[in-house]
Amino acid sequence: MKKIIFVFSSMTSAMGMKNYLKRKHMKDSAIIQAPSKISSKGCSYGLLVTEDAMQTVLVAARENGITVKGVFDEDGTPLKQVK
Amino acid sequence: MIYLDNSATTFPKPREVAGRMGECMRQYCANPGRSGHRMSMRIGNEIYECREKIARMFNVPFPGRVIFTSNATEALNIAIKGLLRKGDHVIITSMEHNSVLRPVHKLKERGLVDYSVARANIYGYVPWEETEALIRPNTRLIVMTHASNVCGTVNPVRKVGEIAKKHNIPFLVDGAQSAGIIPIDMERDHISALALPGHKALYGPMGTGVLCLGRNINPDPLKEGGTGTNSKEAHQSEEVPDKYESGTVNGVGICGLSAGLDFINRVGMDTIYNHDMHLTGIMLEDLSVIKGVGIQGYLTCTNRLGVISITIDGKDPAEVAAVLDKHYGIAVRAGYHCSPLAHETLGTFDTGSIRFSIGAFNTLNDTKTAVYAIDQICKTDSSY
Repeated sequence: MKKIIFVFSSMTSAMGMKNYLKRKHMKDSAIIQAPSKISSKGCSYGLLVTEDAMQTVLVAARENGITVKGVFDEDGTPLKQVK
Repeated sequence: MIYLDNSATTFPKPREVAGRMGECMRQYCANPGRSGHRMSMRIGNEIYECREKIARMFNVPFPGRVIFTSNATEALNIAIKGLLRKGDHVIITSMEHNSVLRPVHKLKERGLVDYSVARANIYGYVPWEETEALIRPNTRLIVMTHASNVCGTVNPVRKVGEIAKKHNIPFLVDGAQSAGIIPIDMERDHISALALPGHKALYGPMGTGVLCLGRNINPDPLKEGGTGTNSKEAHQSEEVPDKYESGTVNGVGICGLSAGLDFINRVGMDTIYNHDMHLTGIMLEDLSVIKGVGIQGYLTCTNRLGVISITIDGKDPAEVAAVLDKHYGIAVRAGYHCSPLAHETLGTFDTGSIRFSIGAFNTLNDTKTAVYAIDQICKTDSSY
């Protein structure tokens, strides 16, 4: 399945989301350092997940006070900009 | 050595604390939140899990609002200096440690804020009405220690939290002596910010502290610098906890703190509290019948923790503590315990006191031996 990257402002946010998905038995996720082309303000952390996790992550982020900076596909194409 | 100085820092630490720290040092002690390699991720995950444990224990809204500091003093400084603005008024209590009094006083000396002191009674208890009566239109913060580090008296945090909420004033609680022994619930108690030491009754190592922030509480940080994120921007990250954690955090210490929290969760906070209070009750009873001994604070276990301060007629506390150390192998703390207002309240401002503080690893033999030693010291002309 296609993978997408959620970009977060901090490792804490990325860790929080990874642990959330783990609790939901969605274990196919990995934290990565976001590539420079998708982290315009400098270093960021991303969460690499399968495409079907997108809504789960967006809802969970909202409920848990986690800021998502953006969602990209693996080649860096923006899929969603999130405030 | 019989260690009865647990209010200063707990000793010994649970075995798993040293174990976890050693494992970290040997296997994955990389810099968290800076790199992307597996060691950095491993320690980053350990640190995040520690945030989660703290968030669960104190009902912090989100793990991301658990901020690691070097100690409770730093946590209190962030909250006090980061929340108050020029012209603001702050209420503290007469049982505060210098970690509250000094930053507030410093702001007053600089002409930035004014403060009022809610006076405790002779047992070190601050009536909540006392706090409410001091509220002014420009009151922007109420600070209260949950339990006195001098006499162990527990203050009505929940009631004061309700008052703070009613008046829409942020409420900062110093949980230095109570965290890990009695429950603290940020949401239930209407606590806006909670300062904790990692190395006391949370059984972590020294060099660890925590500031827990409520949902809409965003003090200015004490320091700015590298956070490992948004590195191209000169502006400090607004993301919590990064905003407050510039520079490398004490990863090894946080792993130890995480193990300390595991210990509390395994043994149970109730069990630790009951153990401490069992020994405290017996010690209070035994000390109260020794001629010449004065006990500060409540004389029973009601509304107090296992911190017992005494004075002995005609004896200097520092001298008594030295004798306890040298002749009986007992570790206590003498003096003013960094809490001059508390000693003023308790009537010991001229002498200070001798403080015994009980921890999870003390035994009845420890406290009985300490009482025996005090009895002997009272009967003799012992000196250095």
